[in-house]
Amino acid sequence: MKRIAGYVALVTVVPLAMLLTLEGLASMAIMARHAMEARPQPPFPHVVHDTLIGWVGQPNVALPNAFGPHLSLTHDARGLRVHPPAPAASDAGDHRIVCSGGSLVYGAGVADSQTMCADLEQALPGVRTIDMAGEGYGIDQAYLRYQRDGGERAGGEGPHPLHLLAFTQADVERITRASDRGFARPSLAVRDGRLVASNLPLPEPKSSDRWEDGSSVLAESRLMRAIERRTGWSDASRTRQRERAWSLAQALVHDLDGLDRARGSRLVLVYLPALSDLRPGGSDARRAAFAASSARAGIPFIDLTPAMRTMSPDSVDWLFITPSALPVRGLAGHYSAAGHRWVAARIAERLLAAPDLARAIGGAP
Amino acid sequence: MTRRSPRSAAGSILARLALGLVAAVLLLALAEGAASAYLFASDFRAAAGPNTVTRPHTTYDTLLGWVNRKSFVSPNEFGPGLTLTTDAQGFRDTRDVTPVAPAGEVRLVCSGDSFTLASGIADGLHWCAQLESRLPGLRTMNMGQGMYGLDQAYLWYARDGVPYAHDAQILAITDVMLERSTTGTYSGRNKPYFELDHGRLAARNVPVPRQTTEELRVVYAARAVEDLRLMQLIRRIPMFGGRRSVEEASTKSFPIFEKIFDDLRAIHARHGSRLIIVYLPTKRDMRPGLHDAWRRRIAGYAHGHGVPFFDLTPAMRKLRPDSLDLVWITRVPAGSPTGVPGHYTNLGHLWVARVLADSLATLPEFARLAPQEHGAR
Repeated sequence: MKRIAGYVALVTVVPLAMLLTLEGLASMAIMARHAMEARPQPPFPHVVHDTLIGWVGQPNVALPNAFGPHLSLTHDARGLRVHPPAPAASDAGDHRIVCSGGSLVYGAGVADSQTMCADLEQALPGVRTIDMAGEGYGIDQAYLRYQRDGGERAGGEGPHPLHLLAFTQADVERITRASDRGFARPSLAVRDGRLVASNLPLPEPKSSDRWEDGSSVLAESRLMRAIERRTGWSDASRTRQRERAWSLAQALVHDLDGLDRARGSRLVLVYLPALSDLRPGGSDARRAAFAASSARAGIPFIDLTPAMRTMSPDSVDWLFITPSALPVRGLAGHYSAAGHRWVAARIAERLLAAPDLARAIGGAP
Repeated sequence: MTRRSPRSAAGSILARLALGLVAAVLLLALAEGAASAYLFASDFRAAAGPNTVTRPHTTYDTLLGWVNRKSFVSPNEFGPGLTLTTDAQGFRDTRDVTPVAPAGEVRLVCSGDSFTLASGIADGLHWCAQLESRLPGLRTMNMGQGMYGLDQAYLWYARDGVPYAHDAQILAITDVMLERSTTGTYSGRNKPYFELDHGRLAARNVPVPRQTTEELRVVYAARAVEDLRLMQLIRRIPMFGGRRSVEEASTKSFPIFEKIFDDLRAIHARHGSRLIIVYLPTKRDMRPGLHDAWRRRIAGYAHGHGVPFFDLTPAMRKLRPDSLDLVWITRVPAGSPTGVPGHYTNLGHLWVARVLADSLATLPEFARLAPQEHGAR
């Protein structure tokens, strides 16, 4: 009897174990192949290392076809992206707006004259805009850049009555990343009620670590996935990280508001919807909480998500750079020239609709 | 007692280390494989089919499997404001059609699958409807249906389209439409199919068995097999690529497809109307492949039997890549049915309508409808 039981166990357990081992070996082979195929992301183009912010625009860059034919990229001596001033801005007086933010504000994938900051000059005659955004910036880097370089005479161009900080969900959630494409990022934290950066000066960039991408290969492991599914640790950790980022962003915005008031400027927050925001989801609650907190602090908050969601899907397609639109890779999902124009028009409408903001830029009596 | 030399001792340690390493790798592989089996079992158990057996605008049909409900309005079928309306005949239209055409009206039936029905697109914006504005005096009847094969499109037209007077029928073929026509169940959906019996079309699986949610659930759940790593490795071998068997079956079924064309031509000959075959490219057609041979074969048939054939693939392939990005639906509003991405956008339908109108204008029935500047282009 014992022998039969042993035999049965042998003919069932051994083949099963062999099959499972084979499945495991197949999984390991696929992971190994992906690890070998993983390529480091290319570094941000046209930037130089900065010990406070991580990276800033390379000074004095003028590339007529940076993103494709006639899609120019120009940096001034301070490494800020510049655009030809709109004709009406030539005698603009003091009506200046500083635009802070990440890649979308910077205008990755569009020409100098097609960024939302440039378009604002067209939409708000008499206003001159200064683009202090940086490619790949998180909201923390936009804050530090403005804090250091956006003084009363932002970029040496005179006082600015308005400061737009325009950001996406990704710009907020980048706060928790230690590095990006080989560049170290500042690590901000609230200590004793004050925002402090704990890892300054930021070290020189190292060549992009292959494992920055390779680590995602490990997440493909079926074993890791099974553990994740059983314990939910990954989701919980992601949620905690997100909550930390949004809470830090709120502290940062309140600090920035104080700084702007001290500089005689008004801070205006703009939420820029990305493709992932077009369907209702988890980010809605975080955005709503952020809006409520900003309202309590008296900081104007312009959320463009509802307006974009009312557009038909194929109209929205025109607002974003599509995968085959440009010869430069990695720009799909950023705003197209039409997207920048649409955003600038909506921001202008909202600014002009608020009497105090409109007055600040000479748009109301 | 013999003493082992230091070299053989080192060799033995190395052998043990190697053995240990192999054992560790195999143990890890066993754990990885067990985890994979657990995920598969868990996915299979938890898999849910679609919420409804058929889309709300369709109903069970013993001949076709499913067909549009008649006089049905689904105001937000594909998202807010993206309405799908059917007329009293069950065609996608907001107007009913009379059995006899009013004097001077040229009528065109558009038969096909979801690319003709226009998944994801609001009433009036699909290519079939837009032909009316490009060829004034034309009245179109949209007999496209989601997930239909060539067999179903033919059967539906023969039963419900023929009674309504019309001058021509566009049979709008897609690659998936051909692939669906080889089997009695596609993605778990029961449907009729044809076999050749002494050179004649013989309908099989009719009456089509009623669909159950469990059948669909099992098909959806079976997709978990594709997540198994062994399966993924096997799929990399060209011989076992997932689509190979489907494509081979379609290629083998061409005699059936051609018989369907024959029968359609016979119907049109009896009614004094005309069959027009159109090939609507899907995303897969944007690259050269096996489908090119299918298109050539259809073109050969059409040429040999005097059937107008308009293949939109070459023209679409000539579009700039960034224009092509805007031809296909990539995102859908909340509440939209699954399966909508990959269909034509409004722009895609507009483009198809323009190209087709130009093509139709070369046929005598439609030439007089083409506006002057249209014809001059």
